[in-house]
Amino acid sequence: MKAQHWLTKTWRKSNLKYQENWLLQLLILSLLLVSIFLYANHQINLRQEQIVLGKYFDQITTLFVAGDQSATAINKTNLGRARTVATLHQLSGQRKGQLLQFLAEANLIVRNQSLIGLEGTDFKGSELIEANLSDVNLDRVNLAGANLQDSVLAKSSLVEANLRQATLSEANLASANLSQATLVRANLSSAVLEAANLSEANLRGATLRGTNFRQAKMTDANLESARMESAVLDDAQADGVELNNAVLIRADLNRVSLKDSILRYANLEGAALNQAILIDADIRAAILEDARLAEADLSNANLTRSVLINASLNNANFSQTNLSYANLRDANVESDTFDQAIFCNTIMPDGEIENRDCP
Amino acid sequence: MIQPIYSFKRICILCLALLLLALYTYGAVEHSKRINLDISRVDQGAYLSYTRSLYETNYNYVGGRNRMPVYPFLQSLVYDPSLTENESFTRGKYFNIVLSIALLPCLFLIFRRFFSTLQSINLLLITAFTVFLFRAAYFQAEILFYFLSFCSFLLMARMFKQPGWKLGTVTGIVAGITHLTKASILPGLALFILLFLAQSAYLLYSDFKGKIDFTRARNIFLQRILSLALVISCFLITLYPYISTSKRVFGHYFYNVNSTFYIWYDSWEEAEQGTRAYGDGKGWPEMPPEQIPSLEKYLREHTALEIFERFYDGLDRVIAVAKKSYGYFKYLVIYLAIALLTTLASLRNIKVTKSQLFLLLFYFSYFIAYTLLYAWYIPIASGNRFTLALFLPLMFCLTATINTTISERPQVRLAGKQFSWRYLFNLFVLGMILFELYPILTSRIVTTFAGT
Repeated sequence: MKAQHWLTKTWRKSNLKYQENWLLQLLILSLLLVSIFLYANHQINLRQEQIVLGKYFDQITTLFVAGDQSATAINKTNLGRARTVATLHQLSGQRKGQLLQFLAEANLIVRNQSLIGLEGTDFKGSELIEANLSDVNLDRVNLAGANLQDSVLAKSSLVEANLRQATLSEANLASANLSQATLVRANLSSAVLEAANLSEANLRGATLRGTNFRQAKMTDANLESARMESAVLDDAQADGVELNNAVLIRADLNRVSLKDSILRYANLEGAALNQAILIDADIRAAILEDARLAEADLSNANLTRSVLINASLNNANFSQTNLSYANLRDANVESDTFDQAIFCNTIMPDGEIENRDCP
Repeated sequence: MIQPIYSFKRICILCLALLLLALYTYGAVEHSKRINLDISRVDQGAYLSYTRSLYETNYNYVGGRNRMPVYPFLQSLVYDPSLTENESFTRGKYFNIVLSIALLPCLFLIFRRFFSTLQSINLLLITAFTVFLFRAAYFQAEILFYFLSFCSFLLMARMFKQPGWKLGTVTGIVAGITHLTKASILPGLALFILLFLAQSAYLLYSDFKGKIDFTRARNIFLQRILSLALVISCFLITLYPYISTSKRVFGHYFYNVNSTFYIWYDSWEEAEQGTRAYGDGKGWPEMPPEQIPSLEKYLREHTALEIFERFYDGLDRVIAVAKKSYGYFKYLVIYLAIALLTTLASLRNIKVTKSQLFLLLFYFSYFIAYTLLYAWYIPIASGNRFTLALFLPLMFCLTATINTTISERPQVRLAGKQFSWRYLFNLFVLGMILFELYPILTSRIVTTFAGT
């Protein structure tokens, strides 16, 4: 009886195991089939996209290069745009990049002489690594999430362009016009933006490590919470810029104009701000430890609760500068620098607390 | 013989649960489509703006120390920058509905740990259809906060009974997350710490008095103090990134515009013209120190009668708002009445140990303190969004009281079967809430704005 019971139990167990194995095999097979189907579908899509793109190249070549005599200049422009828009709907990132590259190489989107208007077109997620797009017109183009790493966009116009979360690391954007462009959470590490126009651009949360903004025009741009370690902003025009909570550790901001700008809670540890103009700036609770502010103009600026430990402040202008609750311990400063500054609960360079102007 | 995996009874229960869930979803979606259509109403726009800022700044946003970051963080997970403001608002509302649906089974599991299935079902249905349903279709942190503050309350209460390092850690973390959802856990936590310390000291004293081994008594005391220290340290560790920024930027670790300034104004208009106009969300308000509101200033400028009147009027308004609200008030009254009656009826049989006294004290002081606080704050923020945070803890305590005091007798004989009073009471409540579903889903949910 015992043996019979044991046999029944074993048989049940093995049966269960067999069932489990069978289910597992079915699951693996299903997954395999789905993967094969998805891969095949992807390959078909790619081939179809290549055909669509080839046709588009032919149509545009016929329209503009081979000389379609029946069409007037305006018709050509409209037709070109219509075909571009229609084609873009059928393409994915890599092909979209090829299309844009083609238009640039064929000189059809040259800045100020554009033959095909690309305003509002969707180049979202385009793959444009190392692409040459210099001196092109990309105003109001949607390039959100595009990969433009190492690309050349020098002197290009990107007014109001959408470059949200785009990758532009090591890209060359020298003298480009990016006014009112959206670059929220874009990656511009080590990019060159020398003499570029970024006025009213939105760069909230952008990664700008080691980015070169020398002589750039950044008036009223929004750079809130941007990561700007070692960025170069020498001689930049950045009046009214929002840099609150930005990280500017060891950044170069010599001679930068930051009038009326907001640098609240910004981290400027070890930054160089020699001869910088910070008139009327809101620099509350900023970290300026080890910063160099020689000959900087901080008149009427608000530095309440700022940390200026060991900062170099020689010949800086502190006329009517609010230094309430600021920490100036070990700051390098001449005796008459603070004559007109406002002190209340301020920790002075010698560690003493100054309450001269407390209400 | 092979047993069927699901019996007929289970399938019926599952179908019923799915039906109720469908009704809940229908009600919430209808409310979203027909009542809550304007993002500028109440503070939904501010929550959306916080969500957007968190997303756009790569989660490095400091914020104005008015709303807390946990809820906007959760919303930012479904935020899509390509959507318009209205589309984002709609998505946020649906996210909140899904969140409320996800929290309901968790609530049921919590109830089930302490009460019978019927009692748990009642509590869940009352909470779902008279509180959560009305607040689900809003871009606001309330539902999440009600759930988390209830969990914190239960964990703190548990600490009085069985303190330990695991419970201490969990209590501290949950209380921290609750504070990061809405900054009003601090008074409750302060009460808990005070009463827990008092209980520990009392237990040590009675152990000495009872001549129990000194080493054992000392070890128990130290264990309790260590678990309390864990609560506090885990709470502070959870909060540390937030409060350290507050200290650096605003000068205080627990800086919050509501609890620091607005609470000492007599009306919202005063607050708008006061610290709010002087940038209290960007730093310490830049206004003459003598104009900055504080407890001292309030006591200087108001008579005892005025203060009493504020409490009195506030309480009056709290009750008036609750009465006119979505339908939960009558359940509170019924549960309270039954709890009181049964307590009075079995007063002689109730044995409260001196150690349990501290837990009771915690319950009472918690409800009284928060009711007074919300009554005080009602001139600044009207409506019941704050007071509803007490709903779950109160219903829980009342149900627990009924369970402790009610005896299985007297029994009622119906159709040849014996039923206890408790069972009949719960059946009555179940019938009541099920009967009320019709007016709730057909008229109340599509006519009542519940954002305030």
